[in-house]
Amino acid sequence: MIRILVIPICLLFFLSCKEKNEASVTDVFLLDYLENTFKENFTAQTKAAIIIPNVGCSSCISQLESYLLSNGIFDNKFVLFVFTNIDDLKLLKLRYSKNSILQRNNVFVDKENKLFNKGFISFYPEFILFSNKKIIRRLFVDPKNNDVYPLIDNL
Amino acid sequence: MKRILSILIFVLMFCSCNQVKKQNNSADVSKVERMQYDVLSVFSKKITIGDEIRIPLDAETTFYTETVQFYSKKDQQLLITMPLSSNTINVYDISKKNNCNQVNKIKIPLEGPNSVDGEIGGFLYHNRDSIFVLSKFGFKVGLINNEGEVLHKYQIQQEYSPNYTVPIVSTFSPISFIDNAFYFSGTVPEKKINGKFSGLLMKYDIEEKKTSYLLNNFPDGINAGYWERMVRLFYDVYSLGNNNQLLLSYMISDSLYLFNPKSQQLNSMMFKSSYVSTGEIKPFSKSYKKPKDYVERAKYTMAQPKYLGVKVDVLNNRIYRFVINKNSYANFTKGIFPDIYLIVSDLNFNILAEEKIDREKYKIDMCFVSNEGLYIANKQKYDQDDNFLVFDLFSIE
Repeated sequence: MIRILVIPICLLFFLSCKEKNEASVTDVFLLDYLENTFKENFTAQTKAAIIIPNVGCSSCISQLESYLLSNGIFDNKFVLFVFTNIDDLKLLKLRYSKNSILQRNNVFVDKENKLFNKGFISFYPEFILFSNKKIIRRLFVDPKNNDVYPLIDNL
Repeated sequence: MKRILSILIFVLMFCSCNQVKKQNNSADVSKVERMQYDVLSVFSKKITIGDEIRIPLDAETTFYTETVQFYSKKDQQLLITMPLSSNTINVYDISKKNNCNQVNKIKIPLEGPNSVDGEIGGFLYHNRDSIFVLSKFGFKVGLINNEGEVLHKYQIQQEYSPNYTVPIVSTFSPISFIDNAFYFSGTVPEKKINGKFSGLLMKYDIEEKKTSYLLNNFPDGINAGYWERMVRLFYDVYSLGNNNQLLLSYMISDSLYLFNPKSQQLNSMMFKSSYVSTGEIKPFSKSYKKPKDYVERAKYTMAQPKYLGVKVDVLNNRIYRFVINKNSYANFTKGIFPDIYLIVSDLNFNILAEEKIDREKYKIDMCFVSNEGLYIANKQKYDQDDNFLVFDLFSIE
């Protein structure tokens, strides 16, 4: 009897506590959004997506952007990028003017801020890991999160 | 035994972590908390929006500039900007409102003999061949000419110290140069000295080569508790004849303070908003506990109503002060932002008008006072055509 009860008790502990994802959209919405946005460029081989708000924690955003640019992560066609909450499109274009980054198939500039207006309200960029088009992990790229950059390195 | 296990399961079910349900599909305006305050006085004047100034921007120049300065000499009217992270000072002739043109573009190198310690944090256009630029981390001020050649460097701070303010230059906290001394306001120090913040107004005397920190007791109550950036000081120069004073505006204070740098005399005047209830401003903690991360800091700051910058308009007998209402994180996550108001008085601090500014349209920290009055940058017009930076004139009927 006790053994039968232990399993559901353990399940209660582990299933009920999930990583809180404050002020962001659901997995279902996100998958749908990425499908509609990237279409044939979002495949079962897609490894990750990175959503970068234009306005937020400026040091977090600029650190990530510098890292992505200097490590050629935008060249990885299995990683998708969305720029949202855009305050100054001209500035964004100037920042990414080299190598036509904003014109690539794996990069989307959410000019109308649809993703932001649909609830992606975050100070931090977000990193999403996929396996066979299913979201397996979501992390904010914030100063306290040391897991993100190694994950990006391994893409 | 069975009873104990049943109770345990019951307790576990209720104490387990909750999944955060965030289905932010659209803002439900009917459920948004609205901050309503009674209007405490009837104003005699109304604020109107009139003429515009259209400044042509080249392909490399974007909207946002942390410092905007108006400079006038004889018939010449100039507007000087420094777009974010550009290390470039742009000088525009705005004498003809409908036909403004760029007259100079000074690119300051990050390295070399004409650099000022890398990135530039702000400037003061003293005259055509005397432009002061502050290095981003606040340790040096360079004096450059209109060709961008460095004529002199002043070491205003030796190195970063958590006990002292680090200068930040912006439209609402400009560099001032009065009687051979620079004045800056800056960051709130990380630490207190003997239970008090060091003065938030920094002075560097170029003759004595000495740095001092003024006004460590104002406003009242700032040394109790931890206020984060809420004790930030904004100011403008208040010059009448040869009497140069500084008009100080603290985020948390209903009063404005007139400070005479020469005599060190300080006078306060009530300059309170009628729409924003600033009596609710609280410290983050009564002890010296700091926010654990950026989000906690942001949540605290947005929950406080606060006064922003002040501008003095001697020619038109006006003082302008901005105030922003509080907001909740819940509202923020729905993309709902608090109202901003502009309070206008005469030079004797008699408040004439207070009205809401359309924050979707106007960027209030990009403003300047010219011969006609207060101009504020119109972001909406830039979004429509990013080849122009447009300012609208705000005046009293």
